[in-house]
Amino acid sequence: MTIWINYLDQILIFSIYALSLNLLLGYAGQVSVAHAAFGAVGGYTVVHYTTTHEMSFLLALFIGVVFATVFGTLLALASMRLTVEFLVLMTLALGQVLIGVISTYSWLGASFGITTGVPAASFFGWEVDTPREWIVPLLIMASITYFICQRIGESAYGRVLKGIREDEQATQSLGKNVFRAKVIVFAVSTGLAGLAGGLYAGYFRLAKPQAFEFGISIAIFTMVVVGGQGNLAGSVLGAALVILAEPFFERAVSLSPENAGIVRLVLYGSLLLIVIMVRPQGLLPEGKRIIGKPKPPPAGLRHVSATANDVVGGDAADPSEPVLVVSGLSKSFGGIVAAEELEFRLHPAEITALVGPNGAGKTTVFNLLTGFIAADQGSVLLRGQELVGNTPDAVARSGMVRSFQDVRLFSRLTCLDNVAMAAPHQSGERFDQIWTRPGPAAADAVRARELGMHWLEFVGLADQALTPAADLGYGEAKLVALARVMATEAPVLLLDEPASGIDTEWVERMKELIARVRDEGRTVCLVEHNLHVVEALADRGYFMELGRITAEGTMQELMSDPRLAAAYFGAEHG
Amino acid sequence: MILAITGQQVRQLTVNGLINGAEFGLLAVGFALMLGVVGRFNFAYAWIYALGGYFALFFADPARLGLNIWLGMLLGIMCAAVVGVATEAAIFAPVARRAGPSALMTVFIASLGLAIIGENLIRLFWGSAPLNFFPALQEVGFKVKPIRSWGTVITNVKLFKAVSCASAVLVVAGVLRFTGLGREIKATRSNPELAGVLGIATRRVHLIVFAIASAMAGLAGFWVGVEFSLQPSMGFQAVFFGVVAAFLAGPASSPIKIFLAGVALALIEQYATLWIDSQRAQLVVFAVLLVYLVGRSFDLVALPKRLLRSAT
Repeated sequence: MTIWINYLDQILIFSIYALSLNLLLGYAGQVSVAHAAFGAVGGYTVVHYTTTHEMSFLLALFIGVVFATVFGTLLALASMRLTVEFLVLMTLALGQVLIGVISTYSWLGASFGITTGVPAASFFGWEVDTPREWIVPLLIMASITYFICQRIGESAYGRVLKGIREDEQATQSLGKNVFRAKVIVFAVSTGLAGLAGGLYAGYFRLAKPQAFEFGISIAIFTMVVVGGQGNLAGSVLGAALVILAEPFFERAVSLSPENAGIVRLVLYGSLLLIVIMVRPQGLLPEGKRIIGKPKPPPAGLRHVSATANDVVGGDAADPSEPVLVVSGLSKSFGGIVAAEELEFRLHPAEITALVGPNGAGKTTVFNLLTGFIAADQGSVLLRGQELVGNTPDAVARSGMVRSFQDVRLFSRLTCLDNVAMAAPHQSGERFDQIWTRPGPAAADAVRARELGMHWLEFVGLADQALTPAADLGYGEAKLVALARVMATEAPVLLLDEPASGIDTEWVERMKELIARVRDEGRTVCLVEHNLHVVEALADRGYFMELGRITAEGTMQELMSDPRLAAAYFGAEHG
Repeated sequence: MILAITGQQVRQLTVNGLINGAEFGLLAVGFALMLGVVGRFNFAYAWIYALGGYFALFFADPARLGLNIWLGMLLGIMCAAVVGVATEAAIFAPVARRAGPSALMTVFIASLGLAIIGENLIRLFWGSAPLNFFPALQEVGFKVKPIRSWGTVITNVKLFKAVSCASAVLVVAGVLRFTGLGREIKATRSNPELAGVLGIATRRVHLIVFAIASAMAGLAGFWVGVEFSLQPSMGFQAVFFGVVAAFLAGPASSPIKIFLAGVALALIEQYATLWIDSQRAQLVVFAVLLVYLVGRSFDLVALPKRLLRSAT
């Protein structure tokens, strides 16, 4: 019986590991193949302080979690701009270095670890030593971890994490501070891994390099992938499956302990491989729960529309004053000039088109305006506020949001989550406020959801609210993308090819919608290949060639100029 | 302690570094081909490496098939290539097709599973104890001899290993540079869609790349088996060095450049032993990687600004 209690305890400890990794891997889409090494930070801290310094177990555990958190924060800062393959390599190397460094110190027991003289753990004076005594504290710790991960994962902040997983740049374009979100999730995840490591060390009363080596990290990884990325219950299930494989092969199949160990590894490798091949989403797939109370759409949607208008404040603006003034904006890559001394203005509640042949640099202009590409020089003034030098998310929060030519919806999130994420000022996106002000955060979540429904209704896709974005057709996806930029409530919208590549029926609808966007008082800058759309919509236009603006005027003026028509169509068809 | 370094010591370490570096460089080139051309972060490469050695021993060991050892080597390399191609065709390609944009990550996880399975299958078939080629070498009258020159000592086996590895890289570099197949591989690497439009059968190119990379791993596995012994987990360390070298040089670089990165890493590891014991010297390589990654991740000039902004 004791042996099974022992396995139960281990399942609880590894559930904490798996939950912490799931937060990172499943929600935020960031990789760590060194979670056991972060556990080592907690484990060694606990053993060292309780043994050498006779510190109380809980205090040592707390310090261990703090150390692991600091470690994770440093890792996050160091790997901010790394792509997946480099992150794998980074965590792999970090894990090796960490374990390698630990095993060089004789006061940490060198390569044998500290295995003797470790006192039994105690919680508030209650000493726990036997596996049976450990059940309750481990159950409490695992529950707390589950609660923390659940609260984070299912909050608006968790939705931002999923946005980062799906498309980091698109998340940033909606005004979300992905830099901060990533650092925090790394810190929390590694802190919880430190907690698991500390409990492991307290439970076995030892800390040795083998307990935290690469193979253990892979086992944790397996638990998360098999259980289901983005599903917390799945991580607990995964932990149970991997841990119970050992007694299963030793007892039920009665192999010799040595062969059982090998067969177990073969089988758990196979489990990992089979799940990835047959059911990549894991045994328990990610839920489609909507952030905010799941209740039917409220009746007073028109009312929301009115408040949205107020926020935009389009009616109050003076139509003669430009909203956006761009001057001297330049950018070159190496010797190639992508934008040269650009000068243009956007007037409130107008649609301004940016037209020109392929390769003229229209999308580059959007990238420059929104900070996705840093300008070499020049100025972008949005209602008097300088935007050059700001990060893309800061630009979006200032009130200018762009869409993407290639749509870039968050494909595994529902349409409603795609649009609701764009809602500004969600207190639930602030990590601290999930904990300190859960009430307002929940209220904001409901508001964001209503706003999301409103804009989905605006583009006529309210019935698709719960459809994953990946299942949409191209035309529908472009409409949801329009709803998404609308939901940011930004007064200035930069729309990159909203009607290109979609069927005629959708083009008419898109045209009508963009006109309504302007009538709402928003300022639109449009890059569009479909000249029919541009001519029908644009109040004025700028003509771009090879990174320079060569003409401006009404669309009729631009298109009746034979030279420009030749430049446009010459490049189009020649 | 630094004063105690002699010229002879440095020369010996240089020779050791060049010999190990040839192996790491070879593995780096193979790994980079799979990553750069096919887009596979293939962790199971370590298993293919070990398999090359084990299959060669299976063919050459007098207690098994007892073929000539050099024939055994060729067959071992071929088996490694066949298994490598099979993993791509049966596992990685279907997994990647299903995973779409997250293919790299998903294939990495699949390759982790495969590496665990593979290593333990070797344990089940050949046992966990180290195996060596001595009986097979004796059969052909091959003697391990020391070679002394320039005040350094190495064995002829080490020299053969280094020369074979370096030659294999030269052959691959030559194929990439001068043949039609090489042009197809490079075209697939730089733009797979365009390559497909131009009539290049990219699926076939992927399989050929896996064949080449796996054969290279098999060659290295065989020589390390002759040099030391075969162990089920032998691939992890060597392939990891190869992976690091591939990333330091850039997975889309020329084979020669990647190979030189492998040699440089091995030299760094060897020279590090002047100051720290050889077990810890590997840490220096990881440290080099960490510094490189941190440097790559953020230009230090922009950091304070970013931090300030994220605080507001």
